[in-house]
Amino acid sequence: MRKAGRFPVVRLGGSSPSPLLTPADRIVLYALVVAGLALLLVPASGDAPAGALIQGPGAFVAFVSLTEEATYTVAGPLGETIVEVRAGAVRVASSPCPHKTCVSMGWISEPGQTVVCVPNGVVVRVLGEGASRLDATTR
Amino acid sequence: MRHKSWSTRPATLGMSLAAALVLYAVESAFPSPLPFLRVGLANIVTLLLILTMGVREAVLVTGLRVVVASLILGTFLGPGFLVAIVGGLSSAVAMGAAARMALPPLGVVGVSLIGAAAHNLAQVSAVGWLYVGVGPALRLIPAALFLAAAAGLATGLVARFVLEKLPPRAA
Repeated sequence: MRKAGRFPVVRLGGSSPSPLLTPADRIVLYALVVAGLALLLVPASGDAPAGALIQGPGAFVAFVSLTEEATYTVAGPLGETIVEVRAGAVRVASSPCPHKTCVSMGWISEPGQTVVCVPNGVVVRVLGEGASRLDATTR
Repeated sequence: MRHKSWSTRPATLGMSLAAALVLYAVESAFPSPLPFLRVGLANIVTLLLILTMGVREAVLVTGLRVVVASLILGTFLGPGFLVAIVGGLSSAVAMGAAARMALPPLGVVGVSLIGAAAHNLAQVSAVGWLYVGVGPALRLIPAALFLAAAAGLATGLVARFVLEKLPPRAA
């Protein structure tokens, strides 16, 4: 036989005279909502702006930020490959190679994605270890 | 002082475990935006045990609930199991601490809110640490807090109404 619960405030049986929410309860409730709202407003700063690496057949290597808008011309054995950076993505815009496989790869933006033009010796790779929609990548 | 009778205590704990499992099963039937974030209906049982029996009993029943549920569902030691047990035990410990240290200013609902927040934050932490990485997990925190506010309010109010219905000698 025991008088009540462990805590004298908690009454077992019968209606309790205290309000459903004490002032302290309200503070906790509002604090949770406000903290959630505040964290929503904080911009997701975890991801560094993604970059891309452009490699040509010779010594040409360029680090490119995907935040910029630019075109790069890479000279290769067949002619000039034009790499375009726009709106956070990069692609091979035109190439002198016969099959145009690199051009048809289209835009890439995820870390680890690569476009290669074998005939003209051009490699474009998106760098970064940030959040990817892929589960894993191998290289 | 705990119960004098050596027979009512295990009986109460067993019934509590059964009730927690039923609530857990009912909750699993509802779809969830994220597989690990749940309303936490079973937290009602944890909260009631803290208030009527003690923190140790609540932690025990919560741990057993997760283990037994995972054995039934076949997820024992699987990916969701660790997340579930981290959330359940964090919630029980946080509610126990809140009840012991701050129950006079706080009410039952306040303790429940703290438990729900601890539950969701611990789960998001576990998911971030084990699976998706810290960055994506940080973006889940606002959703976890909003859900904790709603779920803690609901489970706290239910716990209050149940406490009023419990006969004074029971529990």
